[in-house]
Formats: sequence, C-alpha cells, structure tokens
Amino acid sequence: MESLIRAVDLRSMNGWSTVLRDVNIDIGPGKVVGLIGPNGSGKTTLLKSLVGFNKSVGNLLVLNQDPRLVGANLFNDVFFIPDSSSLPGWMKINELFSYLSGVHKNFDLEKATLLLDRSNLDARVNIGKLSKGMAAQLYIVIATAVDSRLLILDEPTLGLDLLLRKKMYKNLLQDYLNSDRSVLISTHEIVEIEEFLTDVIFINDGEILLSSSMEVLAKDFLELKVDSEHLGLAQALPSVGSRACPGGRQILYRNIDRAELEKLGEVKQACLSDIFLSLIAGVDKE
Amino acid sequence: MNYFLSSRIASLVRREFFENKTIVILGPLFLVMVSLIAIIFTALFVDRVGTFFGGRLVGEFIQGLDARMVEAGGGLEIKLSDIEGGVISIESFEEEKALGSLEDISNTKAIDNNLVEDSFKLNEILYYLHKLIMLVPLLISINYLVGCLLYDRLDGSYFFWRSMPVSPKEEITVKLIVALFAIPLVFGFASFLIQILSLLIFIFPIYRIGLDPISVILENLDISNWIWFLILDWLDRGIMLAPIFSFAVLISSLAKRSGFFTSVFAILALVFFESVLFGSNNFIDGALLYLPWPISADVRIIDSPTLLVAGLIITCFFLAMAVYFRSRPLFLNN
Repeated sequence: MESLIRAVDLRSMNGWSTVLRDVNIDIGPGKVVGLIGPNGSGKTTLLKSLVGFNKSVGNLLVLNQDPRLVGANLFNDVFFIPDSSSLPGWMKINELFSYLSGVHKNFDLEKATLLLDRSNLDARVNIGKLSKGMAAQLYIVIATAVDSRLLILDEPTLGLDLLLRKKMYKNLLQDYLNSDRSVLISTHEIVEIEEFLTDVIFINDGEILLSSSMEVLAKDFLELKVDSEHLGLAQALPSVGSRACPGGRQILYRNIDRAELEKLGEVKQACLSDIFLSLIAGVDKE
Repeated sequence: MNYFLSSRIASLVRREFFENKTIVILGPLFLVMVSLIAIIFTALFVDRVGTFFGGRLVGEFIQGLDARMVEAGGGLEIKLSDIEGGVISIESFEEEKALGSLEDISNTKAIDNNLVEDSFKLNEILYYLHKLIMLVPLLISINYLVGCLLYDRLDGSYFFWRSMPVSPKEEITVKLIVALFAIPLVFGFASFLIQILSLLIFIFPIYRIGLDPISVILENLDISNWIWFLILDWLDRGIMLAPIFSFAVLISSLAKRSGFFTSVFAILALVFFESVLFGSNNFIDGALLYLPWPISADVRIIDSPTLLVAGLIITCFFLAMAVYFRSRPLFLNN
C-alpha cells in the first residue's frame, strides 16, 4: 500500500536541544490519524517537520517526495495551516477565497462559498475581526474546500465549544474524506475525536509513544473492572495503569488474553484517553 | 495551464493590493486632491508662487506668453500682475514703453526668451511636475518593501503564506514587481490625471492674458512626446530602482521589529565601516546612481549599459539573499 507520509528515524533539533527523537510513522490513504500529546510534546514541531518548515534529519517522504527538497509544490497536494490564528487578519474572507482560487489549483471556490454560507460567516468581514470560534470555522471551511490528498490540521478546533467541535469534525470528515485522502489532526480533545479516528499517534517529549490503528488498539488494550475479591489476581497480571471506580478498580492491560481477564470481572475496550494517560504516566514514572 | 499561470500571477499581485489598499488606492486619490489644490493655487497666483510646485517654470511660461503677445500685438495693451499688492491689474502702454518694460522684466529673469521660443515648453513643465509627483510612490514603495516580509512574521500569518503552493522566490519577485512597476503605474495614472487637470486649470490664466488657451496648449505641447516620456519614465524608473528596492526586500526579510530602523541601521553601519576600513563613500555614491531626480542626477538608467548590468547583478544578489532568509527566517514571532 502506498504511503502518504513515511518518516523513518526523523529527528529535529532546535539549537542544541532535540525536539523530535527518532520518529517513525507511516500513514496510508483513507486514514484519519490523530496526533495526540500534551502541551509542548512536539506535535506542532512534528507537523512542521513533515511539511519541511522545520529542519530535520532522517528519511522523510510525503506523497513520495521529500518536503525538504520539493518546496512549495508540495502544497498543491498537501494542505497544512498551522492553526486558525495564523490566518491573515488584514484580509477579508472573500479576498482570501479569491487569492486561494488563484494560487491553489485544488481550491474549489464554489464549495468554499457553499460551506461558508452554511457556517453563517460573512464573506466581507476582515478575518482579524472574527472571534476565535468563527476563525476556526473558517479554517475548517478552507481545509475542506481544498481538494488535497493529505490534510494536516494543527489544533483545528481550538477555541470552539463542545457542540461546534463535534459538528466540525463530523462535517470535515464527511465532506473531505474518501479512500484516496488522509487527514492528520493534532489535538488535545481526545474524547471528541476518538470516534472519527482510524489511527492514532501518541507523542510525548518529542518521542512517539505509540503509533497504531484504532482496531489494533482495541484488541491490544483492554480495561478490566474488578471488585475487591479478584483484585489481588488482577493486580498480579502485568498492567499499564489502574484507577479507583465505584465498586472496585479499573485496570488497563496491554496484550493480555481477553478470556483470561473475563474470568476476573467485566472487560471492555479501553478508551483512548485512558490509554493515553496510562502511557504518559508510564513514561513519567521512568 | 497558461490561464492558471496568468490567474496565479494576477492573484499574487491582487493579494499585494488587498494588503496595501489604503496606500495604493487612497494614496493616489489623496495625491490628486492635494495636487489639484496646489495647481489651482499656482494658477491663481502664478507669478508669486516662487519655486513652489513648478511655479517658477509656470510663471515664466505664462509671462513668456505675455511677452509674446506684446511683441505680436504692437503694444496696445499688456497685462501684468502687481507683485506688491497681489491684485492683478491691467495697465496700458504705448508700444515703446511696453517694450521697454519688457526689457526690465527680462533683466530680472522673469522672462526667459528661450522659453518663449521653445515651442514645447509645456512638456518641460509636465516633465518636472511628473518627476516630483513620482517621489510619492518612491517613498510608498520603499515603505511597502521594508515591511513586506516582516509583518506576516509579526502577526503570525507567516506559516499560512508558507503553506500555500507559492515559493519564496515567486512571492518575493511579485512583491518587487509590485513595488517597481505596479505601484508606480497606479501613481503614474494619478500623475497623468494631475497633468491633464493642470492643463485644464491653466486655461484660465492663459485666457486671462487674452490668448486662445487651446491653441496655446497645442502649440506648446508635443502630446506624443509627453505620453512617450510617461511610459519611458515608468520603465526606466522601475529598472533604475531595482537594486535599491531589492535591498529594501532583503532588509525586510532580516528585520526583527521595524523594517525602517533596520534599514537605517544597515545603511549607517555600511557607510561607517566603509569609511573606517577603506576611507571611501562608494556605497552612498553607488546608491545615488540608482535613485531618480531630484534625489540624484536627472539621467536615464537605460542610457548607461554598465550601470544597468551592475544594477541587475546587485538586484539578483539581494533577492537571492532575501529568498534564503524568507525560507529560513532569523526571527519569527510564532
């Protein structure tokens, strides 16, 4: 299968400090990949490195081209806007659309206008006068209207309320995604995005903690709700995290046979936020 | 493909106009209005405006017409302004007295007989008027260029522009072309309008001295030469200023907070180090060669192949550096 992004041992330095360490990722077509990590974990650095904005060493191919060599041509097929606050504040929305339709061969002006009408934004307004939420909506409109093979979004829903965030992800993926394209989204909002993701990458302190499909993750990580009677047996098994819950404890396991756990209590698929927290906690302990 | 390319270049140019619409659209309008007031003022007080706004030339031209009328009319009547009181008075002279008074005036250089004999005197007036007006877009373009690669780094939109399929080379070339040719073109049209208005307004003082304004204007204006000069000046100015403007672009790519202060600092530093190390002033002398009249000599760059080639080499060097620092900015606000 063709990779849209393939990074092998990618490293990035900022002065003397290493901001990305041996990053290995492989993203194929038709994927919605969540890049999840705490603040300062290196998410934005990684995204910028993937499009050649940050200096990096190691093997990197995006749409079979090295972004560090191919330059601006890459952005005909890869759409990346760092975040909604990077939109030019002095520009009116219709001016921005006019510019994009001129320079971006994959920008669909009709679609953008339609999506803008749907979002109730006034095209004659200066982008700088939009609220954070409105700017985020505009950001999504632009991202959706560009018919690129790879969409890279950095915190696209920053500043939006819960309802808008959900709606936005739904609209974005409904309007954008097909079997040829992929979306890489960095976010903190794990709970809201979880249902839309096909793959997930956890990053902390410039290192990839986990890169996996959601299917594999569902098989690998299981959560056991155990009462005090079986707690000792449950704790004897190698777990990756645990927390108290009404009537006992919830323990998270990785790569443990489901049948074995079912003997001890109620087993369910672990949620992404618990997996993330347990992995981060594991790293912190080390 | 060609359509996309032309629409792409048009979009890049349009983007510059969107960003700078106040100076590029309102600037010329403001200039036309201010010039109109100045021209009306000059027309009303044509012999008392001294050197202001081409006043001396205009005054000489009008008084030249006056003198010609005296010569042609047999001295029946001559109209001269009262220099002291500011009120235009009409005095009658006998032929001999009139000619005598004319001599007095020519002694004070109020009338230059050569100007009267020059059949295209208005071209000269319009030439200097245009050159003065075009100082405005020169300042505006420099101001635009020293900030053109800085503001997006300050307002955080740098990465947005970088994420467009537009290379830094394309981006910078378009900005330079806008400053060298597009902004002067807009102001050139404004200057053309001002010149036409000034011709229309000067119908009044010409009419006042009893001549047919249309025939006087047509007699004294070579229209094809006038238009040709405007086009040639626009092109020559664009080529001449390329090294200075590309230096401004480079400064913009290097500046951290203020393009103006960075450029002043860079120029002072270069002048200082050159004078300390080599005891020469070649930097300033060289820069002056690429600035138009009245800042520098009234010469055309296209008449000097050496200067032209040297200017293009310097321009390419500065632009290459600007492209490098645009891709790898030293200072970034986000």
